[in-house]
Amino acid sequence: MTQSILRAQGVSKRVRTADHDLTILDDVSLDIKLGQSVAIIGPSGAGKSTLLGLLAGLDTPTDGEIWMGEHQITATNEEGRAAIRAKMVGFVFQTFQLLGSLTALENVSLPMELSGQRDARQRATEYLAKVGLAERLSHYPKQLSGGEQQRVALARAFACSPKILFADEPTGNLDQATGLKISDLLFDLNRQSDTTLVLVTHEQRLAERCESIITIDDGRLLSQVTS
Amino acid sequence: MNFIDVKLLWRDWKGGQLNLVVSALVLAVMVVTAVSLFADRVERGLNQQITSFLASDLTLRGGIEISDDYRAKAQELNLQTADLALFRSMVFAGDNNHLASVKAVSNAYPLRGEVELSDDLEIGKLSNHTNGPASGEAWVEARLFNLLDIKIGDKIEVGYLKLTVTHLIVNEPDRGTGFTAAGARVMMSIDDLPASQLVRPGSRIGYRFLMSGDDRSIETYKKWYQKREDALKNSSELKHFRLVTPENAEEQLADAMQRGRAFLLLSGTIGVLLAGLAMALASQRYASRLTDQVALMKAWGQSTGSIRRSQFVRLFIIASVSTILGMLLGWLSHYMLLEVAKGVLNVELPLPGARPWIVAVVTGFVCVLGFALPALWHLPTIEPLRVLRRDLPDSLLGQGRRLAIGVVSLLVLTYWYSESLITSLLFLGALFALFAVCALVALQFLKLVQNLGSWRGSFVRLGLANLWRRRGQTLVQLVGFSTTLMLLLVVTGLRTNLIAEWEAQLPEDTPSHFLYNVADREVDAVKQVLADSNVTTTPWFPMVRGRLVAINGEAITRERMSQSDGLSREVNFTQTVDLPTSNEIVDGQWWSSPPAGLEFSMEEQVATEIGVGIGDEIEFSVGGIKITATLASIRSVDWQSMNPNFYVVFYPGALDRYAPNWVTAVRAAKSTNVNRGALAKQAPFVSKMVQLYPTAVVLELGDVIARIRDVINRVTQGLELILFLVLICGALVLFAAIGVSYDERLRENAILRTLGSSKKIIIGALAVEFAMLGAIAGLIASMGAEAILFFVQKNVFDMVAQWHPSLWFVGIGSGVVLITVLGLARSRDIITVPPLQSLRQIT
Repeated sequence: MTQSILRAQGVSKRVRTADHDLTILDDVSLDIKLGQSVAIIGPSGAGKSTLLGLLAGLDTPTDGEIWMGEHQITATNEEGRAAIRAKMVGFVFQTFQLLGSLTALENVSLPMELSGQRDARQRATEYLAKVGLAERLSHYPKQLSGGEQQRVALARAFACSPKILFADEPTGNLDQATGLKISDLLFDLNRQSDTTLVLVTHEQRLAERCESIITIDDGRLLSQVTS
Repeated sequence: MNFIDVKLLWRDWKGGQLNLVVSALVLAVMVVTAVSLFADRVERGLNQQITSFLASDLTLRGGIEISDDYRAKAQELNLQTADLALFRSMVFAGDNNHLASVKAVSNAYPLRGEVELSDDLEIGKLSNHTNGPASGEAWVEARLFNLLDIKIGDKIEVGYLKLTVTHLIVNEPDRGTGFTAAGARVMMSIDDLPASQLVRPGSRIGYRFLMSGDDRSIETYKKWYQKREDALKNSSELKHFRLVTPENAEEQLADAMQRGRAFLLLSGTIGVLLAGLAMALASQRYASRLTDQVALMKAWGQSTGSIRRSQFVRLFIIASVSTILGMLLGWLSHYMLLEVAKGVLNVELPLPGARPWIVAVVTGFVCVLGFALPALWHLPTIEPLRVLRRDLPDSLLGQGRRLAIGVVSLLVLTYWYSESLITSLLFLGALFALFAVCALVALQFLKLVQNLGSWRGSFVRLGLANLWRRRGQTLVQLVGFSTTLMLLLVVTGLRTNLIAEWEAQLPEDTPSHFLYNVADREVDAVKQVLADSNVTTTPWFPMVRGRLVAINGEAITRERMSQSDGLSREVNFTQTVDLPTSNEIVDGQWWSSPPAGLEFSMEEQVATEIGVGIGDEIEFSVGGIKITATLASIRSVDWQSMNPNFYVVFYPGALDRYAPNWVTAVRAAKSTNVNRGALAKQAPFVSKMVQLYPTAVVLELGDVIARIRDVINRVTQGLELILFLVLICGALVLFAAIGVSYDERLRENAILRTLGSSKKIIIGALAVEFAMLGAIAGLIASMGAEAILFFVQKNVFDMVAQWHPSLWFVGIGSGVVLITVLGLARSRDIITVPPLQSLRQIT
């Protein structure tokens, strides 16, 4: 049986508002296997992004446990989670999150340089070539189209060889045609690198390309369907 | 150091995000460096002079001839000695004359150091001498050659004596403190002094007794002097002499220099404060730009600690580079200050010491820690979840805490500059009070403008509404700009208007010349000369110099002496039957008949300062001889009247035995100001006077005013230079404050343009906003400056206060022009970037 890479057990997230406690996630349990691609879908405000943040170790649940590989990330502090993220996690965001003052090449190589990787620039160049931007290495984000910016973001995420890639609405800011190209690229790279992919999306077509679909609504996990 | 930190910092710099932080820091360091380098070099120059300042190992100074016991002790210890007498006197050559600084020296002078002489006005071969001029000779300063139109070998008249000019003085060891406001030097033999008839009882002469010898004898003399001093404190004998050693001479100068340096640095502090404000605002914007970057890095697994380290590395680099740049620019600008001070200072300036550089470095780093760091402090603690949820609040330090840190940093700096906690607290307190008043006034204007906006055209309303809507930022901009502009207007007003206005307000019958040092036997003849020349004189007063020594039998202590200027030095006494004009009795009675005993009248302020009243017995010393009199009346004196005025006036007869000199003020027809110094252009009576009575001194009021104006000009020009740099700091505050609302403005204007507003309306609204901001800043600055000038006119110059329409015109005009131009320049992207791009840029 394939080993779990990400496991949540009874995870809840509540926040205190002015007059009452608001439950964003309620008793969510799930299990994601190594190399699997999983889509989290649900209507706006269902708690998808909150779940993604908790699974990625960017936030802590009010109740429940989350395991990333052999690490129980809910049992460690932010510094411990940061160290785990540094080893295992990559991100792709809806708003690309490229640094405007850095070129495409520098944007891709930055996380690798931060983790002390020696061949950062070489790998960044390779990955930019893989996403079809070999000619745009020295371009700044504002000189690139939305689709190109997201391709840089994909190169940045995969170049670090993360064990798990979290993608938050990766095509949400793109038109349909560009979105399709980006999702093709995302799944291609995912296949090549054997990364576990966890993506949050509104788009049914994008979700259907994943091996497993988790549906949540009103903070509750409604189903986890694996094809 | 991580190379990535440098790279990211470089990218931020290239992206223009650090421009303001760095410029503000560079300016702050530049102002402080320039000021402290200037102060340090001048201080060092003057200190260096002190080492040979005394031309001896010890110098005894006094206003009367050195008494024999001091000489005898020196002789007993086998010390070498020399005598000096210093005074001002008219010197003549043919038709030309000059009020010179005469130094009569004995042949043994100087005991330490050498007099450097030359025989040629041009380049001249220098010769060093360890002796003074021989009898019949005069050595003179080069500028006297031009003033009197003479050359080597010519004769000059000093008093009743004719001396041959044999050498030019290039340098003398005890030249003085370096300030050359006095007349040109004439050095002569002390043996010739009696023949010149310049020295009389009551003449203002400084006597010096120079001593040198081996260390033991010098120490013994110092101890002996100290013992004598202590004994004097408990006896009724008067203290007429003061022993000057290189140590205490330095101490006094160090004290004065410390005060001067602190004053200059405190003016620079206003620049540091504004630069700090600009830095704080710019750092806040920089922090908001870094928020996403930090959140992303934390999502990638960077720890809070490593981000904090990276933050310190970046700030260290910013502080180091900016400080070095500021120091370089400060070094260049201190030459401008030196250039301005050139006419007042006459010292060789050595290279600066380490302190100015340390001051600069500390200023740079304290500014970063106090103004930039608080705005950036929260960055490492930003939650990584922000990469998904940008609406999460950041934990930016509260405004109150940031303000407190900034104020404490300023306090640390001002305390360090002034070396006095009280001074720094008072200075900062006054500065913040000024800010508060400016802010209050500005708020009232803004309210007024808000109402004005409701009935104006569309872009006018839009612009004016912006001012009120962002009133927080508007107030910061207004306060920063108006205070700086105000100070500049005050300084410029002092330089350009005040002296001229004061001169113009002098009454028609204001004397044009003062005559003093006229001997008893010459008075009648001089009166005749004046009458023949149709010159109107004010009353003649006999004058002797003396000091107050005891009140009601109680000797005046040093502490009490320091309370009043009239007590701490020798002052002029006179005697007269009639109450001098421009004097009014405020207590007691002026004599209507001869009093039974010795009585006198005292000036009101001195009487208050030393706490004496009618009937008190005061003991005076005139040339060492004591005289006791009863206070009969207290007078208010109009010192601005330009007539001879006195602190102490006796009933006639009291001063007869002291052989007084006579003084009067005269009014002659106006002389031309062209080529002053040439006798032909002077009032005709002056030439007659100086030829017939060479020991009398004629001082022209115009010369005195010209000298005052020159000093004020130089001081204010120096301050203007500093304030100009401060004004640039004010401009940076404006830039930084616009930066704070930049994104908001960008979005608003993009929306307005999307909705169909023309570019013209956007520019118009911005122009109206900045022009009104400038007008209010200029108005506040002009109001403040006029108020300060009013105070100075009333209290310092004691004149009728005048409006300065030009000040209001310049103040408001420069405010409008400067702020509109700078504001529009800073907002050019808001105007030029297409709306879609603006909206995209923000999201």
